[in-house]
Amino acid sequence: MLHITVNQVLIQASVALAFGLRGLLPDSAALWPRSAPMWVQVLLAGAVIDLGLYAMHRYSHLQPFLWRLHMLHHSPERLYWMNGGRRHPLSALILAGPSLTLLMVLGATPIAVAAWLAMLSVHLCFQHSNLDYSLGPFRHLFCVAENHRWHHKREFANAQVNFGEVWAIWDHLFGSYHDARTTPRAGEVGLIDTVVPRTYLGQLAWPLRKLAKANSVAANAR
Amino acid sequence: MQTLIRYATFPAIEGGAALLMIWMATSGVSYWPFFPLVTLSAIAMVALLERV
Repeated sequence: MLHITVNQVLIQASVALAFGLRGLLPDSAALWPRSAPMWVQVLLAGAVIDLGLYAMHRYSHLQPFLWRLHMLHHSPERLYWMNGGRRHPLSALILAGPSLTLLMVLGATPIAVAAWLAMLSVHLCFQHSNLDYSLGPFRHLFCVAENHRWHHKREFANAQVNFGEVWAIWDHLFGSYHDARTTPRAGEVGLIDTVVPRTYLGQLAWPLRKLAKANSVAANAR
Repeated sequence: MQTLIRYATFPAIEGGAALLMIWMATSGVSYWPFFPLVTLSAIAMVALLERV
C-alpha cells in the first residue's frame, strides 16, 4: 500500500511540476492540438504515455541498473491488484518521465494527461489482479492479466514479452507479444533465487545496495 | 455469477471509469476531488472482487 501511495503522490507531483514549468514556455511553442475534442486529446496523451512506458519498460529489462530498480515489481510470487503499484519510486519516475516530459514540451492539455494517468491507475490494478476475468479475443488489443502474467514468469528469459501497459499494439509492432491458451499461476511468477527485504525502506535501499556490491566486486576484480 | 465476473468486470469497471473520466474531462469537471474519487472507487471494486 505504501508503494502505491508514494508512487501516486510522485506521479501527481511530477505532472503538476511539469505543467507548472510548461507555463514558462510561450503558448506559441505548443504543438498540441488543443482545439481537438477532449476525448481525442485524452487518447492522444494516452498513446504518447503508453508508447513511452513500453519503451522505458523494455529498456528497464535490458539495462542492468534499471533492471535492479525494476526487479522489485517482479519480485512477488503471487500477483494481485496491488502489484501494479509495487515499484521503486526511481523506477516509476524513469518509466513515466520521458513521455510526461514530451507531453509537457508539446503543450498537452493538463486535464487530458491527468485523466489518462487516472485511467492507467485503474488499469494497472486490473492488469496485475488475481481476478479470473477474460477479454476473449479482445485480449489481443489490451494488456490485461491473462497476457501480462507471462511477463511476470519466474524464468527471466521467458519474461521478455508483453511489456505493454494498456494497448497491446506496441508489443505486436515490436515483436514482443506472447499469447497462449494457459496463463502462469501463483508460484510460476516472481524471481528465481531472489530474497527481497520485507520493509519498505529496505526495499528502497535494496537495488542501490546491489549496485554498490556489484561495483565493489568489479573494483576488486581489477 | 462466475461468468458475470469473468466477462463483465473489465468492461463494466475499467470501461465505465474510462468513459466517466473522459466525460468529466470534456465537461470541465475539476480534477480534485472527482478524478481521484472515481479512480479509488474503481480500484476498490477490483480489490473487493478479488475476495469474492
